[in-house]
Amino acid sequence: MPHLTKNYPIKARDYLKAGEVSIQVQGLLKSIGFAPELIRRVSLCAYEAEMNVVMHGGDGELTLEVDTDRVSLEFRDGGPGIEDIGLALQEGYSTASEEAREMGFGAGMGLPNIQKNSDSLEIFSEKGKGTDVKIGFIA
Amino acid sequence: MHGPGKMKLFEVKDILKAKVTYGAEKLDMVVQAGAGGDLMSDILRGSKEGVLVLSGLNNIQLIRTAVIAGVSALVLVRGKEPDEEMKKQAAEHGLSPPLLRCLRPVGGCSGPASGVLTRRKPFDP
Repeated sequence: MPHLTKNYPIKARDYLKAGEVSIQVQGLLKSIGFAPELIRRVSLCAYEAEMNVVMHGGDGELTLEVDTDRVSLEFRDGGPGIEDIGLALQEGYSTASEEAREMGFGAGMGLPNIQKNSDSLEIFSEKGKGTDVKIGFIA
Repeated sequence: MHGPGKMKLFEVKDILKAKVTYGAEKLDMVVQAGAGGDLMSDILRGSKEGVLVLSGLNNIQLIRTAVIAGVSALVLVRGKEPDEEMKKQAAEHGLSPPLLRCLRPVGGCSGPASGVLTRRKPFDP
């Protein structure tokens, strides 16, 4: 399979469309024929990260890269950034808005879920300058 | 015939006296477990293949979360009615789980359903 790169825009606070990008990624990986467990892990991480951009970030973008032996996701947004990454990685810690909580989000499990279901996770963030989250999977 | 601890979705529907709001053609599917989920992160935890999820949520994100998690069927509790956008989303994603609507709360639904699943085990090998 040749190397594949795709970019998907993500709009902040657009709850009507939120999650659509991850469903597209899930569909693409299924069409390529990856193992169901890998697709489950990638889709889950993509969805949690996409929702983080929608809920907390500014407008952003996902870059998906697919090779025979690996899949990687890179989410970049121009939002307020994460003040304390260590705290954000703790289970149960959340700064979600009331609107997001009413929808069933904000349990503080987003980044911990990504950490558990990926093979690598790198977070680069600076207050006021946005966030860059790189998530890797071994196929 | 389906195996131990499993039941067909139309049986669950009858037990819960639920109405189908989307995916009536999928009622013959076999479900092997049920789970309650009012937090998206709970629904996303672990594989949901063959799992029926009962939820008090009623929004478009519930449909997308269920698609991502691979949930087999969704039951909206407390008589919640999905709006047109939810039905449209469900229809757009060919993989969407069937959507049922039940008047009882999560506890009131999961009790009867799990009771039947448990009772069937020794009699329906």
